[in-house]
Amino acid sequence: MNRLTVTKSDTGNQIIIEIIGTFDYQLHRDFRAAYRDEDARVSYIINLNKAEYMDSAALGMLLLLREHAGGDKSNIKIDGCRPNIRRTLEVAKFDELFTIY
Amino acid sequence: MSATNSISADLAKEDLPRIFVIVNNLDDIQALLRYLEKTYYQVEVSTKNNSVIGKYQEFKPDLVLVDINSDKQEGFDLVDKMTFLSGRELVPIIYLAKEYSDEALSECIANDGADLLSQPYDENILKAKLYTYTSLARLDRSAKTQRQELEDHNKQLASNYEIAIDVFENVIHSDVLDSPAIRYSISPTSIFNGDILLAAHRPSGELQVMLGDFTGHGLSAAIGTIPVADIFYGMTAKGFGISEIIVEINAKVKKILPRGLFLAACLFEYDIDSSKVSIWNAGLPDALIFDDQDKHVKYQFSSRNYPLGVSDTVSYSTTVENYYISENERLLFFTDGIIEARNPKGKMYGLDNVISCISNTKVGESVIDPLTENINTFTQGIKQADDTTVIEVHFSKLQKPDTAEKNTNNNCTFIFNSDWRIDYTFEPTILKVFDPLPNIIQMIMEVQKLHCHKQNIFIIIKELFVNALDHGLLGLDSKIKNGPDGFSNYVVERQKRLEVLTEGEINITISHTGTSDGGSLDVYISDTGKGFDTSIITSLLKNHSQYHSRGIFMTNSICEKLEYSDSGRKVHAQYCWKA
Repeated sequence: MNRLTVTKSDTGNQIIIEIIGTFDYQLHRDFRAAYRDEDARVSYIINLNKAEYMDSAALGMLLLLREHAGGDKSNIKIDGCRPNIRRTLEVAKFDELFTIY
Repeated sequence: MSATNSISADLAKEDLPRIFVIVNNLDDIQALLRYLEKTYYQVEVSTKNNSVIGKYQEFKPDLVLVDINSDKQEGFDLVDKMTFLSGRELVPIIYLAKEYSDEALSECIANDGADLLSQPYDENILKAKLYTYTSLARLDRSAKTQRQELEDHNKQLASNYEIAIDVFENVIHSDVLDSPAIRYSISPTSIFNGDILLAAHRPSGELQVMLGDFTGHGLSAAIGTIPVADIFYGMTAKGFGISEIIVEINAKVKKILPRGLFLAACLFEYDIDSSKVSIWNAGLPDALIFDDQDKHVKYQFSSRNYPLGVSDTVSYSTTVENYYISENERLLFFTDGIIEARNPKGKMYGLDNVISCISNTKVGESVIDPLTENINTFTQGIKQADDTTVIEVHFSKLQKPDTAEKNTNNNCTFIFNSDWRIDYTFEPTILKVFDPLPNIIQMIMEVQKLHCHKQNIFIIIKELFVNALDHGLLGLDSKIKNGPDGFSNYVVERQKRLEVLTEGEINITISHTGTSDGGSLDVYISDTGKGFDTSIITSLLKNHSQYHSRGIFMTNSICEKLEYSDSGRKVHAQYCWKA
């Protein structure tokens, strides 16, 4: 099933959001809830190790997070991409906006 | 009846002991025949004629009485034939003579006789001898039958065992284990004790390995092996990672195994491109990462989970541990038979000994043989309760399989020259409750095996389908998405409109045309909405907004062709792939 899990570091400075299954608008509410009450100093790791697909809505959601986290000053890493999904991020030029592992 | 014995009470008439009497002349043995009439034996009497051997074969006696009063040699010859016919079966022969002498007895015994009776017959001696010899014959026969049954049973067992090993080998053994990067030790019998070692590559190239140890031994432990191997190999081939596989195996094991039987397991996946290993350990000893140069253990992956089959849900999402492999680092993991191996004093081998064994191994050598030897020295030949299975992965020697997808060059196990077409139409009642896309994508993967194009194919179908639904049938304007809360507002509005949608339909047609080195996947999606001014597409593709139109941009980037027609109600996207 498609879902996400949120893990906050003990200091509260880092949030890991792990996506499982399809990353699309259906995860929007949960994804947004993971960061909306955090201030801009928090850094994020989006773990896509278990993400099977992502669509343009997911790209939009990532951009909204980036905006919330301070835009160009934000600290967001995208980790664990499968080659398939990495290509999608590259096509969308997201490698210029996020640190992709 | 004086000669009646307790045997007779338990047996049906046709099962009563049979005595075959061969005489020269019926008159000679009247007294014997009168006695036999009083007993419970089945008696057949024959004179020494041509048909006597035929009668013997038909009657299948337990005891034969042969009269040698007038022609001794004829009697001996008959016995010779009968003995030959009986083969290994014991049919005692008692010769009947007028007079008893030690010489006569010796001669009878020399001619396959068991005994010699002479006239006048003493009824008590007759009774005792007939009973003894018929019982002996029966006993011999039942012993031989049982021995034969036992032999057949053992043969059957041995052959079943061989077949079972074959089946297990076929199901479980993977060529991936033969890679020079992988060393392992698993005995064929340990399979029956519930040890399981599986290895396979995902279509995208990641190596996935599973080591498992069912609690219990023998059949109860072995029954789970085949379904577990099926799930592991089936899902790995479809591109699933260990987290998804764990969930499936857990559900299966929970369902099929009797209560109290579990599967302790350690799974890992390794991505050669990023050198990242992800491990999930549930109930097995610590998996060890060590450096082959300085022989130090760099990391221990301890069990942080219940064994599979314990609980309905597995808490895997937070417990897969990641580690980035450096040069010279290897991974060693094993079943608990290794650390629980006991010496004659009952002391266990333990993890510390495994670690010290690693530090004593020469650079470049596999730990497995030294470890096995060290354990054998430790246990001093004491028979161990558990089998041991151990696997060592030398990451530096690992190569991506030729078939694996590569970043630049799409290279999967492809199917060529395959033409097909699917056609679906969805109405509001379906669209409200069901997302058809996962099934459609899955079907394309099953049919055409385009695993490394999965995400691209998903993007194309998903974006065009969502456009047909959102903008076609629901009439939503992308501008709602503008601003930080725009997307949320859009999602809410979309749900509202979908709930009240009663009219319209979306048609998805996907056709594939194969060539000798690739193919073209044509996606046609049409909706019955109002359509839109397709001239804006060109400008959207040039500068898509931060908040919308990225989907159409993405789709256009990966497609060979993207064409709208019928005032935007129809769209055709062509995706070409090459091997």
